Amino acid sequence: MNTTKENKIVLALALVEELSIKKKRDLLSALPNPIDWTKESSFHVVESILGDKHANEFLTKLSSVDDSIEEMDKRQVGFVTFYDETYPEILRETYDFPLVLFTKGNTSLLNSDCIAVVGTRTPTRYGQKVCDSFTRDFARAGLTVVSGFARGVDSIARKACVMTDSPTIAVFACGLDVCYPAEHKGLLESILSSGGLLVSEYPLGTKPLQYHFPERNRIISGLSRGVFLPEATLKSGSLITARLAVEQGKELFIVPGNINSPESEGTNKLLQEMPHALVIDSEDVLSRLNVKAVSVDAEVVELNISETLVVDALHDKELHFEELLEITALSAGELSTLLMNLEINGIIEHTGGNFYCLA
Amino acid sequence: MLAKVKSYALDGLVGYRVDTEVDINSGLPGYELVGLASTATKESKERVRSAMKNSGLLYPMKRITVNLAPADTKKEGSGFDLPIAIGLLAASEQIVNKKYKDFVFIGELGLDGKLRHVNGIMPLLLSAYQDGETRFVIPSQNAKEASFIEGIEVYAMDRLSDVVAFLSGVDYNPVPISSFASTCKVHGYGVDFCNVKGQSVAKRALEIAVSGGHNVLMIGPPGAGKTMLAKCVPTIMPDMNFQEAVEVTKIHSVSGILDPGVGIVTTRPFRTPHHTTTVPTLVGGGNKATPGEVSLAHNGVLFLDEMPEYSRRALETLRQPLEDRRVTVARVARTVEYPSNFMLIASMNPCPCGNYGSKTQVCKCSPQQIHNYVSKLSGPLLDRIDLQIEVDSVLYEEFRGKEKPETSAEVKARINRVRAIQAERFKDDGIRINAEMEANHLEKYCTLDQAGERLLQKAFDKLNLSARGTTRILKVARTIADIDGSQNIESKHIAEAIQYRGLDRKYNR
Repeated sequence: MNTTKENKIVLALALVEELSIKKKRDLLSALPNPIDWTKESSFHVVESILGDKHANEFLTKLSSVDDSIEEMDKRQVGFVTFYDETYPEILRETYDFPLVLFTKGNTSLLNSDCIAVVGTRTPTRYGQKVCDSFTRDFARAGLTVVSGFARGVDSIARKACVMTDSPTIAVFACGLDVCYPAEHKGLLESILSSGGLLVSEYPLGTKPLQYHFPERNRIISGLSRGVFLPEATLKSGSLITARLAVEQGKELFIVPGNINSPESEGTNKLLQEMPHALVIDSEDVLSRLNVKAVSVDAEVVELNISETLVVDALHDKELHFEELLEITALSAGELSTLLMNLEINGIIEHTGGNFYCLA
Repeated sequence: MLAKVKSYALDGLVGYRVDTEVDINSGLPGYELVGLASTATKESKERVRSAMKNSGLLYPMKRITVNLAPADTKKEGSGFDLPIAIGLLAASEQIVNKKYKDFVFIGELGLDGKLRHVNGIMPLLLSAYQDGETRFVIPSQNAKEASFIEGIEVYAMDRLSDVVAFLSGVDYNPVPISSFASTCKVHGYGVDFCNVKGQSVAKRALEIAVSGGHNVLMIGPPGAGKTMLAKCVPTIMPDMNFQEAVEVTKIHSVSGILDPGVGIVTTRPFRTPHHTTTVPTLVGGGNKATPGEVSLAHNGVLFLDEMPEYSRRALETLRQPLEDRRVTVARVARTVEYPSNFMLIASMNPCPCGNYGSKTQVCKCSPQQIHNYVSKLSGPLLDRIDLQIEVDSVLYEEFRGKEKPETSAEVKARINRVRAIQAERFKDDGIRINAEMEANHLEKYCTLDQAGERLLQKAFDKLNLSARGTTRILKVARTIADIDGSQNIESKHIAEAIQYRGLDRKYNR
C-alpha cells in the first residue's frame, strides 16, 4: 500500500479544503521533503505559506488522516500521490501537476496511452457525429479516452466508449462522491462497469465550484498525449484545455467546423492560430500519435429500390416523414418499416420530430 | 288508511325496489318521512304538498307517516316525489281505483304539479324489468330514454293531474319503442379523419392503436394537432352496438349528462378531464360514489391532454381501471363497481417549454428539468401504454389538397376487419383484443422467426431501447401483422412496431 509517512502527509495537505494549487506548489518548492512540513523547526515556513488557518487545518487533517483513508476505503476511493510509482509519468512531467489524485475504478488506466476529448456542452449534430465516430476509432485503436464529466461532447465521448466497451477516464471537478451533473448517474455506473476510472484532485464531498473546472482541465490534458477538440464555442472551457495542452507540449487535434455555426467559432479560431492542429479524420490523429488504426469491416447492406430512393433523397439534407412519403409513394406503414430497418442498420438516423437524415 | 306504491332507487348502476308506504291517521296534522332518506328526498314533503294543492288535489290535514322500505338503505334523489304523492292520494282515497298497484312510479314534482326529469331512468327501468316489472309511470322528459327498452309499457306524463286522470281510468298511450339504428344515423361525430392533413405517422399509429385496442401517448409541441387527432379516434372505432350503447347510456344517465332529447348515447364518448382534475372526479367517488371520468369514457376514449401536468396521484389511480377495465369505488355507505373499458389517449409536450427536439424553436429547459418532466409518468403507467408517437407541428402546405386523405369510414372498415381476426383468434382465450394479451398469450401468438429475433436484438443494441418495452413491441407487432393479414409476425412488423417507441427513442439517447 502507498501509506508511507510522506504519502500520508501529502494526502493530509490535499484534504485541506479550498487551498489553492499555487500554495501547495510553493510549499513543495520551499520544503521538498514532506517530513519537514510536520517538524516543529520548520513549521513556521508552512504557516507563512499556507496562512494560519490552512496550516492549522492541515495539522487537524494530518491527525485524522487514517480515519480519512478508512472512510475512502469504504467508498472504494483510493489515492495516488506523486511519490507513488503508479502516479502517471506523463502527468508528473507537466508544470503544475496535482500532488494527489483521488481515484475510483481501474487505476491501471492512469499509465495507459490516453487521448483527451473535450468540447462544447451543446454540440450540433455535426459535432455529435464527429465526436462519436472519432472517439470510437480512438477506443478501437486502444487509446484510453480522457474527458470531463460534463454534458455535450464529454458525455458523447463517454457513451461512445461505453458502447464500444472500452475503458475511459473521467476527470471530475468535484469530489468523487458528488455526481455532477446529476443526470449522469447512470453513465457514471456504466463507466465503472466497463472498466473505466474516475479521477479527481478534490477530496470527497467537494462541490463543483466554478474555478475547479479550469483546474480540472489541466489534469485532462496532462494525463493525455493529445487533445481532440470536435467543436467549441468562443467562450468554451475546452479552449482553456487546448491552450494548456499546448503549454504542456501536447498534441492538439482540431476538426474544422462550419464558419456560420457559433458552436464552431472557437475551434475555427484556434485553427487559424495553429493550422497544424487541423485533422480531418481519425487516422490523422492516430498517425500523429503513432498508434495503429484498427478498422472495422462495415456490414454490407443491400438496399432495395425504395430504400435507395430514401437514401438518395437524404444525401444532403434531413427530410420529414411526409416528404419521404411523397418521394417513395409507399404507405405510412411500409415507410415506417423501411425507415426502421435503415436506422437499425446504421444508415439513417431519426433526428427528432419525424425527421430523418443520413447517419 | 294505508297505501303502498312501488318505486325504484339506484345503487350505483343497479336499481332496487323501494316500497313507498303512506299511512294517514287522525291526529294533529303532521308529516313524518322515515327510511333513511337523504336531504333531497326529505325535502319532497314541501314539493308534494304544493304540487298536490296546485293540481287541484287535497293535501290531507292529518297525521301522515311515509316509509321508504327497505328502511336500512340510504335513499338518494328526488324520484320519490311521485310515488309519495300517489300514496297520499290513495291513502286519502282521492284515487279509489286500485290500478296504481300495477305500476312502478318514478318522478320528481315541481311546485306547480309538473313532473320533472330524474337521472338514471335507463338503469332503473332495466333493473325493474329484470325483477319482473313491466308497467311504469315516469316524467315525459325521460320518455325518450325509456323508449329504447323493449318489452315494457311506459307511460310518460307531464303533470301530476295527468297521472291522477290516468289512474282514474282515462286512456293514455304508452311510449312507442324507438329504433336505435335510426337514432344513430342522425347523430354523427362532427369530425372526420379526412379533416386531418398530413400527420401520416400519427394517423397510422392511431389506426393500429384502435385496431388492437392499444393505449396511445402522443408527444409533441403545443399546437401540433394532438387534440384534433385524439378527437378523431372515436370516429374510427367500430360502431357501438345496442348493448354497448345501453352500457354507456346507463352511466351517463346516472351522472345526469344524458341528452334527454336523444335518450341514448349513440356516439362513442370522448372525455377530456382537465389536468387539475381530482382523484374522485377521475375514477369516481364523492359521498354518493358517483361514476368518474374513466367510467364516463366507457366504450370510448379518455383523453388526457398534457399528461405530466396531472397530479401524480390522479395518474396512478388510473392503473386499476386500465388493467381491470372496471373500477371499484368504495365509500363509507356503499361500494359500487362501474365499468371503465376505455381507450387511453394521452398527450404531452416533450419538455416544460415544449420545444425540446424542435427544428425551429429553441428549447430553454435544462436536462434535469426535462428528466423531471418526463419522469412524472411512472413506469407502471407507461407499461400500459403500448404506442408512443411523436407528433410535430410542421405544416406542409404543398401536401395540402394534393390527395384527399382517407375518411374515417374507410379506416373504420379496415379496423372492423382486424377486430374480427382478433375475435376469431382469441375466441377460446377469454380476451377480445391484442392489447389484452397476457404473458401466456404472447407466448402462444407472438412467436418470432429468427429474422425477427435478430432485428429486435439489433434494435435494442442500436437504439438503446429499454427492455421493458419488449412485450409492448410484440403486442403492437401482432396488431400490425393482423392489419397486414399475416398469420405470423414477420420482421417488417417488428420494425414498424419499434417505430412507435417514441418516448424511449427520444429520451434514451
